[in-house]
Amino acid sequence: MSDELAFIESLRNPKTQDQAFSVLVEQNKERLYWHIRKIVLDHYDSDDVLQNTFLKIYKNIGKFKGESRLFTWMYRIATNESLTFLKQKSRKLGVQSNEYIHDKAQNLRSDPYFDGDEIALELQKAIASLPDKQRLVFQMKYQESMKYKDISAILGTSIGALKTSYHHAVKKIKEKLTTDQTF
Amino acid sequence: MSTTQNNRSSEAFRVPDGYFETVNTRVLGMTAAAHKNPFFTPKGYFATIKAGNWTKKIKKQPSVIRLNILRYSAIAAVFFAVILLTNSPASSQLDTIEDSEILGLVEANWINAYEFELAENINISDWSFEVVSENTIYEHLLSNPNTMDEYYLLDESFN
Repeated sequence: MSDELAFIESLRNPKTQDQAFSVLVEQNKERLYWHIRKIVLDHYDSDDVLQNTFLKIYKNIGKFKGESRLFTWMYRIATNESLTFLKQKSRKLGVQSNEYIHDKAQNLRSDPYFDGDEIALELQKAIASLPDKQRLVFQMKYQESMKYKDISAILGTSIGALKTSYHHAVKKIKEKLTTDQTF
Repeated sequence: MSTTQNNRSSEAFRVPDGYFETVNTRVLGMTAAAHKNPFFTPKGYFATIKAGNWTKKIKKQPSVIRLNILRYSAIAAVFFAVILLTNSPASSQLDTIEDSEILGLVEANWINAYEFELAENINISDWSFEVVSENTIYEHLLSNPNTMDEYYLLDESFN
């Protein structure tokens, strides 16, 4: 933790800020990208959101109080940037954000950066049919193998509520996959 | 097609022969699929991500953004009229912001702000649409010590 505090201090110090930010980007770009990508699905959209996320981190690092881990704070920004992106994009198209992501999932087959088989495609469609929160919890717990404690800190939700959301998400996905694949 | 009868409830319902034997295999396949990442990126994509790309952009960004008054005057007029009617509490402001074109206005000028940030932290009835400063927005956000805590917790998707 003291290493992290020293690193945060170097991010705040104007003399070391740029170099420290380079390290931060190098260390976190891939995992933040994949977190974002699972939410917005499209590579180019993910690239935009990743850029916005790092811009927010750079601009706001001075206000980071160190009450949570840096990783948690960055994930929270990435999550909110992704959800805001979906809302803005869907608003422009005149649809709800869950409709927008549902359509994205329906069209994954034609996405040049998706090579999942039929099962993977059906799974993505099932995940896209979940409400935002359940989708996030399922993604973070099941696909990213994160601990409830970390998810709780990122989403600002109690562990009990997360477990409930996850339980509902798994149940709905199982039902959807079973219904769609039977007969 | 041969079928297996459901002998626990109605005899009218049947499933394909061998159906229940395939469930485990299919569920395991789905479990494996969930952990396998079907998404990928263009070759060499991560190597192109450098902190310098963003730090340069931030430093190049002008702190004061002049808006095209002619382009936005009609929007501003409607917006202020709505503000007067709603008496400007934060919740009303949020509705107003979401219903108006102001997000497009903010987005078009590269100001990074969420609607809830604007609604909670800025008395937008005070805004002048002649000159909007990005720094002004951030100063408003910082004026409330709880702002940054609330900043990333207020997303209505979680409510």
